[in-house]
This record gives sequence, structure tokens and C-alpha cells, in this order.
Amino acid sequence: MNCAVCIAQVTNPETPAAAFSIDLKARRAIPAKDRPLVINDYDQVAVEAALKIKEAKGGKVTIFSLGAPSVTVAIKHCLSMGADEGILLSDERFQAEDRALVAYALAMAIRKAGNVDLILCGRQEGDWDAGQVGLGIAEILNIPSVNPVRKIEVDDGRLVVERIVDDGYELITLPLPALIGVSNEIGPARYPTMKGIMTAARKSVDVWTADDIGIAPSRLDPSSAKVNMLDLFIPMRERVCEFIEGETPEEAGANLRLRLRKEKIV
Amino acid sequence: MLEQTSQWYKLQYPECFVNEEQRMIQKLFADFTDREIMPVRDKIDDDLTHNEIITPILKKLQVDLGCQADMIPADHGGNQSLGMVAAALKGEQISRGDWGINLHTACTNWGWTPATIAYLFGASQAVKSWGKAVLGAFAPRFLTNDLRVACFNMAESESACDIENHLNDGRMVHTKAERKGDEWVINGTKHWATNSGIADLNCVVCNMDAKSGIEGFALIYVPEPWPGLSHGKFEVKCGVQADRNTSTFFDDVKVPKEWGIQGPEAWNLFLNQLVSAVALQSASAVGVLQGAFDVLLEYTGTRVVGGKPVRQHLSTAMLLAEMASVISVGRAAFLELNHQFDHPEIYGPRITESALAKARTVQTYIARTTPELILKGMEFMGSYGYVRENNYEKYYRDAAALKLVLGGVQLGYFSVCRQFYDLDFSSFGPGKLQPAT
Amino acid sequence: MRDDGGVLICGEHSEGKLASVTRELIAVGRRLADALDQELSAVLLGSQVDAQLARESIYSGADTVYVIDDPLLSEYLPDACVAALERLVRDTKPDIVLFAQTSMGRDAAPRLAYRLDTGVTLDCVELAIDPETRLMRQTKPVYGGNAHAIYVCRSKPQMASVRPKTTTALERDEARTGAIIQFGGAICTAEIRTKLIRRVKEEMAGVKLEDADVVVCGGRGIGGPEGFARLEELARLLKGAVGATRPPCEIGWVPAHCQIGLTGRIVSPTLYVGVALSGSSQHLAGMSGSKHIVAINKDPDANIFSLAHFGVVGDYQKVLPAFFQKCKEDP
Repeated sequence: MNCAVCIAQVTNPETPAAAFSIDLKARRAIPAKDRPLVINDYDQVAVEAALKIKEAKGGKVTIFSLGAPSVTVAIKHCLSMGADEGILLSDERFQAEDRALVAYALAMAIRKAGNVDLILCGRQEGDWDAGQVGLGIAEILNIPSVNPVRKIEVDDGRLVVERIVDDGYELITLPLPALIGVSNEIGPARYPTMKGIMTAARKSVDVWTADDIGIAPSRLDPSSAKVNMLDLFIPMRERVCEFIEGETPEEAGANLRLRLRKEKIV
Repeated sequence: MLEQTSQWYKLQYPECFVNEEQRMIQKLFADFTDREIMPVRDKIDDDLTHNEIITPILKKLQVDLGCQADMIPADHGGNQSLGMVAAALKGEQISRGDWGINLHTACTNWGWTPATIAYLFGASQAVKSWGKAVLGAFAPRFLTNDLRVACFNMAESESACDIENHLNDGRMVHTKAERKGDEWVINGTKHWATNSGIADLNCVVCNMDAKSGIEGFALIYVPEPWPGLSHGKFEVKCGVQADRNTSTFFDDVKVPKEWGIQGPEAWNLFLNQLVSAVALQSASAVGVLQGAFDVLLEYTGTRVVGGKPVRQHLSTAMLLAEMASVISVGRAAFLELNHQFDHPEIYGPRITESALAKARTVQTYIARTTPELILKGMEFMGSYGYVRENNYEKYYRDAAALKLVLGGVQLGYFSVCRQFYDLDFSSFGPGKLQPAT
Repeated sequence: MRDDGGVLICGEHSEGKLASVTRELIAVGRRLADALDQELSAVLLGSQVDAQLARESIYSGADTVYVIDDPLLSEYLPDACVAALERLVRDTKPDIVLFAQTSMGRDAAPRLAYRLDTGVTLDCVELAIDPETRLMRQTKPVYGGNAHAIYVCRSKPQMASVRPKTTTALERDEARTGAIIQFGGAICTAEIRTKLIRRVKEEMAGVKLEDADVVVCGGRGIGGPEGFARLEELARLLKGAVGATRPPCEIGWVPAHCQIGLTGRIVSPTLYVGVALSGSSQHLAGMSGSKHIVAINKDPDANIFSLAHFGVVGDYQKVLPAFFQKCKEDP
């Protein structure tokens, strides 16, 4: 039961709003000081889901990621959690904001790697929040998919999963090969272990370029992208909060009530 | 949070000392400390039973991350993580959160070290067999999903730093071991060891005949529970709650002969214990100072006094810079030291006088300076620095103990001098203290 | 059938009622269609679809309603639904296709876009026609809500999903007329790979979060489930519902469906009270539409205060009981 997991490195989503800034020219966020890039939360739980399946059913877990060579660190982290191998898709011509291109590249890479029963992705990425790469990969590879999922069971060539919906969940079954978008409700991602780190450090991550995975140069031309970003900006927030005071916190609480009553809010 | 991308970070942990694997290990413990220890660091020292906060953290660290198997060889199912730099980086990060938790995990490794080093690198067949026997008997229980603890049971209440003073050749070890038939019989009292009273396995420092010095010096492994072995009550200290210290009473404790060795090879293993602990404690001390510095830096940036943030006042800026300077220099020193200890093929064995002296130059500097600076920093936090929930005063308490371990800073300074001249600070020179018979 | 072009919105319904997000979506589509001087169509999928739903769609602002009726569409099955939508779009060739960013919309929209070999932007908070290019400008929050990005799509149809509660529905007008068209073609069962076994409701008793007039929301600073019991008390008194940011849900202090935020529920109550939460952008994305925002937090620099109308800086364990008491004795 071989799993492929797609991960991405993103700016730290816990960056406080006050420290968030964007590079207007490059049209992307600038990692805040002391806030290094992290592996997208949901991708980490996707790795966790893959490792649980490996523990139950055996097989191999392969990590795929598209990005700069520095992303190798993120792939190695997943290897130290217990994944078996990693493949980095790295090419100067890749534009990560073109989410359809990212989906296409990952799909082609997974196809090239071959022998994959289940593809796992995070339900959504913490930078572009596009929410379409996983489903896009499934469409390109013409395999069934479910997103977002909080529980996965594998049974004899089929999956039974719980898909999160607004007021509960759907119990869904689908055949393999398939793609699943994983949500954090599946459980926390494990820490690497000492043994895992020592094993991972000895492995090397394969690097594939756009040519290696068979992407036509014309597709890499930004003008061939269907969706273009026109602008990226930080919306101005003009609210001024009225702070309610008091001699003691209790008094402030009571004053808050009085203030809201005055405004006829409560 | 460990900054991975800043220039400061690259300069502070340079490639020449820290390789990829070590960096991954460092990041693991930095993340662990930030996520597991930092949110509760103000509650750790009040967790008197250990059940609420401490033991859950230790389970994650020792079992889930697998640290309790670090000093067990790979062919016995362990991690065989023998590198000093990796262990130093781990110690630095965990101490940044809580020095007591660091002591627990470091000392489980410390308890295993004699057997593992003997098994992997022992010069004679006898000492290798001893290591193998101990590993065979006890390693499996450290590979389960239960929290397991080891203890290097060395110190004694009457002669703690006299034992750590290697010039005494073990003649101040009053825990007596005798060979009777196929067994070792141990009698005596130990006191202070980290993890005493909670350990599953002890490596006990004994002497068959104190007057004989090295010849009678012995290291004997004793598991717990075990007939004849009992404990006193846990010490109530100025903090460092996660570190359990108590007495261990040996009343005719009998163990198979395979679990002990005596003589010069035991002594050399003991010397290795001392010098490697000194090297690793250098790193932990930097971690404590870093933890305090981070709190102080942030607090003095938000708190306004005299019309501006506290750290805009010259006096505070001077102290912050001095702390950063000691961190910077201390870090470079412990990295270099531990790197050298990782490469005996270049720098020679660790158990020489000069290697110990070098280790002590590093450890004493950081261990003595850290508590002073942290106390000074408390002035700039005012009462807030004295209040538990502001996370500063715990570093003041952690730091106070740094000076005291491993025989203390004074013992360390004596060792430093021996690099340059034959300073005699043993208990047995002319006019010196005579041991009890 | 009809002229090419126009705006098509994908409607949702349940228990015989048109979803409120659909009425919002029709309002958005109406505005875009008017700007393009084109028609607005809606499509309703289901099994034995009540004719009233189609009429309601027209009363809400649509010009034409396509009804795709098939037993396989009684529940949302992506294979069935997307296949049907694909056939409709290839047939009617709209310029713009819109979904609501609901559990169904965020799933169907990307699939449909990839099948049509076009682009899609999810979770838009604003859609507008550029007067020069006549293309749809799509504004959506990115980086967890810290920034906004504006996209255009150069292929047809241009596709987007709209965040709920960012638009007001139009006034219902029973005088409006329009065409209701049954769009046929059976769905091939062989196409269905993903099967629904059953749907399970896990809603808490009491007021539904999205419908609540008052939401009391707790964050990591609450400290434990006991603290949330306090919030329940207040919510009950104010006849509201309790929500949470992600950490309390992840730790397990409250059930997961209490989560308000970018990947949780979106609420826009009259009164939102945020207690002991920092106000990360991901959370703000879920409640920024609230009419009156009140925050209680120990940290004066908490991000929530940048959005709140009223705030108290203090320990919630002292502030909240006093607030609750005053509400009780002074209703």
C-alpha cells in the first residue's frame, strides 16, 4: 500500500498580524524575523495519516514537494518522521502562485514515480489558501478524491473515509487509487524520533526538474497560466477599539455590560 | 523559537561544528521545547508529584521521541546516538525550557554510558563482556513504550565532590563492594544522583577497598526494584523539581558478578563520565541563559518606565548585550569543545588532564557567569521578574544550581590549573584530610 | 437552446428550502450579469426537485433556472454532480460560473474547473467586472486572511466560489418571471466512483452557530473545558451559541465543529464576544462580518483588538463573571 504525500513549505501561519508583510514586487509574503518557513500544517497531518497507514498496511511513503532547493529540509523532516523517500520538484521556471501548474507538476511527478496507491495532501495550503491543488491532481490523474477528511480506513483495495461537512460528516467509500485531502481533525502530526533523524540524514532527496517530469516549456511560460494575480495587498483595518476600563477587572466587566446596554447591543 | 534563517543563527551554529543530522536533532528539541515545555514552564517546579506536568513531558521526550534509547547500541535496538555535539545541542535546547527535564534525560543517558562505551570501545575482552552482559540484561526494558529511567549513582553525602575529584583516585568512595562467590555484595549509602529514587537501572560507583584507590574502584549495575535497595525522601530544593534527588541505601545488595567491573578500566570509564558531563553541562548552561535572555529581551521591550521601554535605558542595554555576549562566546566554546570530543582521532582521548582542563575552562565560565547575569536581569524586570507566571524567576533558580554540579565550579578551577602546573588539590597530600578508615 | 455567455450560479437547497448562501450567490451573480448586460442563470441539482425552489431562485434574482433532476443527485456525489454540471456548462457556455464556498461548492468548483480546463478562484470576498477588460476581478483572502489577492482568469468560463455572508441577498420579488428549464440526460452510474454510505449529523444541541444572533467564542487562553462551561453559561443567557478558535478544538476542550475560522464555520452574528483568544487572521476570517465585536484578553496587543469595537484588557476569569452577573441582573 504505497502512499505519496504532497507537502509545501509556507510562511508561518502563526506570524502575528502585526509582523506580517508582503514584498509588493515579488507579490508574496516576506517571512517575518524569527519566523522561519514551516511545513503547511495540513500537509504535516497528511504525512501523519500516511505513516499510520504504513504502520497498519505496510508499503512505502514518498514525499513530493515543489519548491526551491531549501525545501529539502522540509522533505527531510518528513523522512525523519518515518517517510521512506523524498522527491523535490525544483525548477526556476516554476511559479508557485500558478496553483494549476503546481497541481500539474505534482501529478506528473507522481505519475513518473509510479506504483502509488494513495495520494495524500493537506486540505488547503497556508499561503495561497487556494484549496484546489489536491482535487486538481486527482482530476489530472483521473482518480477519485475526497476532501477534507478526518478519518481514513483501508480495506482491500477500497477506502472508507469520513468527510467533514458543516454539521457533521459523510461516510464515504471509494476505490484505490485515490487522492485524499487531510484535515487536522485526523490527529496531531508526530515528532521525528532520534532514530528517524539518523536514518533520514543518511538519505538523499531526488531532485526533478520540469524537463524530468515532462512538462512542456510552453506550459512554464507565465503567459500560459489561465489565472493571473493582478494584485496582492494588505487590507487596511481602520477600526479603533474602545477600551472599557475599571479599577478592577471585575469592574471593567461590569462597565462593559453597561456600555453595551447603552449602545443597545445587549 | 530557534531561528533557522537569520544570519545570527548561521553564525552561531556554524557548518564546521554542526552537520545536517545534528541540525535536525537540534531543531527537533527546539520545537519540542517550544511546544511542550515553554507553555507550562511556570508550572513545572510546582508539580510536586510529577503527575500533572513533568511525567507527561518526560514520556513524550523519552518514549515518543525515543530518547531513552539514545545510549543503547544499535545492535541492541537503541539509537546509538553517541555524538557529543548532538547531545550538547539537545541539552542546550531543553535547558532553554527547563533544566530539570534536561537533567533527567541527560542522566538516563549518563547511566547507560559506561556499559555502552565498554561494549563498543572497551580495550579488553573482560570489559566488553561486562558491557554486553549489562546491555543484554537491561536494554530490552528501555525499548518498550514505558518510561524508563537510568541513574549514574556516584555522589555520597559525606564525600560528593571528593568523589568527583579524580585526583582522589576513588579513595573517597565509601560505598563498599565485595566479591562473594558469583556475586557482588554492595553496602553503603549514596546521595544526590539525578534520577535516584525513580530509576529502573543504576550504575553504582563503588570501591572494594577505598585505600586501594583505582585498583578497587568498581562500577556495578543494579536494577530496581531489588532486594536490599531502598531510598530516602526526595530533596526539596530551590526549584529544578523535574530532577529527582534522594538517598539510595544498599543493604547487602547482591547482584551477579557479570554486572560489575573493577580496576583501571572501570576507572577510565569513570573519567569519561566526568569529562563528558562537564562538556554537556556547558551547553545546558548556555541554554538556561538563552531562555532567560529571551524572556528579559521581550519583557523589557514592552514594559515602559521613565517614558520609554526599559531596554532603551542604557543600563538595561548594557546587561542585555553582556548576556548576548556570554551566550555567543559560551556557545562557540561548547560547540568547539564537544566537536573536539567527537573527534578523538584528531584531538586525542578525552580522559586526559588537559582535555578535562579544557572542558572545565568552558564549563566554569558559563556556569559561574550565567547565574550572576540572570540575577542582575531580574532588577530590570522589577517585581515581575520575581513572579512565577512571568517565566523569569525560574531561570534564576535553574541557574543557581549550575555552579554546584559535578563537584562545583571551584573543583573545576582546580582542574584548569593542572593544565599549567602540578596543583595538588587531592584529599591525600601532606597535611590534607585523611579518610575515615 | 439559448445564447452563449451570461452568468451561471450553482444553487443549493435542503429540506425543500433554498439555501441562504444561494440567495446571496444570486445577488452576486445578478450584479455581475447586469454589469455585463447578460443573463443570470441558476442551476439546481437534486432528486425530485420541488418546483417551488426554481421559482424562489427567480424571485431572488435569476433569469433562468436549470433543473437537473436525477435520483443520483439526491445527495452530493461529486462524480454525479460535476458530470451533470459539466454537460450543462458545455451546452450553455456561460462566461462565468459561480459557487458558494460551502462544503459542496469548494469541492465541486475545482473539479469542474479542471474538467473544463479553466481556472477557478475559491473563497472570494469580492467579485467585480473590470470595466475595461470586461473580465471578472476576483478578490480573495490569502495567507490565512493577512492579505488579499486579486485574480483574473483568461479562459472561459471564469470560475469562482463566494464566501458566505459577504453579500446581502436581494429583496425577494414574486413579480419576477423567468424560464425554468429541465436539463436532461441521465447520469451514468458507471461514472460514480465515490459512494456516500451515510451522512451523520453531529451538531450540538441549541442554536446553530451560523444562525446565532450572539456568538461567544473562546481561544487557547481559556485554559480548559471548565472555562468553556463559563462561556456556555453566558451564551445561554444571551440566547446565543458557543464557538472556539482552532487550538481548543484540537486540544479537545470543545468539539471540532465549534471551530470558527478559515477552515471552520463562518459566522456573522449581531454580537460576537471573543474571550481569551489572540485573534489570528485565520480566526478573523470566520467572524469579521460580525456586526458588533467585543474582545476580552489579558494581552493589550492581541490582534483581536484591531478588529473589535469594544475591548477589555484583563483576565477573563475576573472580567467575564462580572460581565455575566451584570447581564443577569440588568437585562
